[in-house]
Amino acid sequence: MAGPDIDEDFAVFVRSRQRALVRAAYLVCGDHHAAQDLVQGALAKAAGRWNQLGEGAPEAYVRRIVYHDAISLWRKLRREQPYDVQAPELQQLAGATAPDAAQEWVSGADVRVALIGLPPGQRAVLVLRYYEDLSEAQIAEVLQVSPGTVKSQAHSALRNLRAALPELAAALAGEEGAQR
Amino acid sequence: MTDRDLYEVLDRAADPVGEVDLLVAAWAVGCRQRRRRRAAWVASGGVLVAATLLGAVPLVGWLSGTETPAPAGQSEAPEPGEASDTAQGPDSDVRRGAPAVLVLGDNFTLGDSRTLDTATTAQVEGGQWQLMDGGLRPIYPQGVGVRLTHSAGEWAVRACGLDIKVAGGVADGRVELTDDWQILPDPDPGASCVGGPWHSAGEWQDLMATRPWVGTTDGTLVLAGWAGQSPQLVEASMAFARADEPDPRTGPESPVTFTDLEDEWVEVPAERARAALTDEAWVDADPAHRLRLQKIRLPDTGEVLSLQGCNDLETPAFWSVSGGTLVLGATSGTDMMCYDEAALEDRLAPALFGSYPRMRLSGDYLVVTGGVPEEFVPGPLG
Repeated sequence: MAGPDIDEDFAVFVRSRQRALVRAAYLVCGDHHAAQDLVQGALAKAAGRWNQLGEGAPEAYVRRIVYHDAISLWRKLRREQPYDVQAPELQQLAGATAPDAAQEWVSGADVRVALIGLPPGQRAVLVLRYYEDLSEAQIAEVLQVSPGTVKSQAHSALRNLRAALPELAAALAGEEGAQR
Repeated sequence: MTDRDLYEVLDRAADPVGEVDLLVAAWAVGCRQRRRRRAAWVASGGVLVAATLLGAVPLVGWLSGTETPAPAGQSEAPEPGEASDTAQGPDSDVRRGAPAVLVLGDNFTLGDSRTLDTATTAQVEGGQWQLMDGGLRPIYPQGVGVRLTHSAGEWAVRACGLDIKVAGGVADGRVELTDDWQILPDPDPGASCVGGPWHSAGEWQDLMATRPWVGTTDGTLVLAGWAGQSPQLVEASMAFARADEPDPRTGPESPVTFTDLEDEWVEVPAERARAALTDEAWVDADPAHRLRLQKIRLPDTGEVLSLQGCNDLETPAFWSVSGGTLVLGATSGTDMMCYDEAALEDRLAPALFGSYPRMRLSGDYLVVTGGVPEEFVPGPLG
């Protein structure tokens, strides 16, 4: 039971997708609470017009709002308070010794630091492509950019990630090569 | 490294996210937003929705905020041809001022199609219309309000303390004036006239000088032009192409149909519109937040024109006039909050789509022309 007033289909949708959406939003915006707020805001908008969306593609609608708001939020926060250097976890990482270049395994924290270093558009494309497993056409739809932009953003994202994570460089080079 | 490996790397990076339960909060907020949208509809847009559907109202008052028109008899009626510099004539390169729509009639009905017919001189000849209010009643008491008539090839406006006329009719769906205005200085000597909306000669001269579009249906007349000084907007256009049309082509212009608007349209960058289409002022939103436009049906409110950019915007209704589509509407749910380089977008779209823009098809392109703040229009303006 979702509750006396909550639409059952909406409840099923939220319960099945909320965690994945918040995780993806977290990768894009770099802040757990902001990610939750973004997803909750998008879900609220979906709830406000659920009668219309319920039979369509609510996830695409929610995802589009999340990503756009995440990018906007990132730009706003970056201007007001660059939280990438404020977060204690990241400050600690900033002073840490670089991992062994030969080490194949990279920690989640390493990746988070690297992601935060990417421009928001590149980060969004990277997450949509490799975490959400969307096609270039689908990513173009979500971000409302051309497929060519998606391709170039993905290329730049992998290049920048490779630079930020030398231990992934070889693997990412192979990944990029495999794209061609 | 495979896609799967990269996925796992990213998945590890997302590990700090624990369990979340957003259901109850999201549903509650969504319901509140829906109620607020409905309330906003009633409070402001509702007037316009009602006006759109059922009748009524000099809408420029809504656009202009709470300006109080000068009392009758006290307005400075400009000399013929000296309409205010904020509303310029049809030959001006750039239209500035406040977009205005007047709905006049003793009764008002719009069918399900919500369309108006393009008026002709023959259709307006012999007609008389009074301003309607948001409650779908005459804005002034019967017999003392502002009345527009067209008779014997003359447009005339009559109210207590106001008697002006000008030769003209309708040409190509727009008001055509063929002579100077004749203004009777004191038509009601000794009368104690009370001012109100559209109770001054200057307002009418401003509006009619912009050659407003004219639509009719069942005894109702709609004039859509420019008048007044606030908000101060300039005319500009935004182009859209169908979302599933990767290579839109130019072609002859044609009216927009409601069927066309059921397709999803994506904003075209101004630079591309300028290269592909006519030489007019083109505007666009931030490239990262291209607007998407589509007519949709909402269960609560019926058909609306939905705009999605960095956030959502909806205009509640629209009608067709003069071969194009005139979008009418309060921009309800104006929560288009954008940041950074898209910061101006939250003003561009509401301004354009709140200015009763016209629509036309130009080949595969949908062109929306309305009023926007001047800072959105690139290059020097005439």
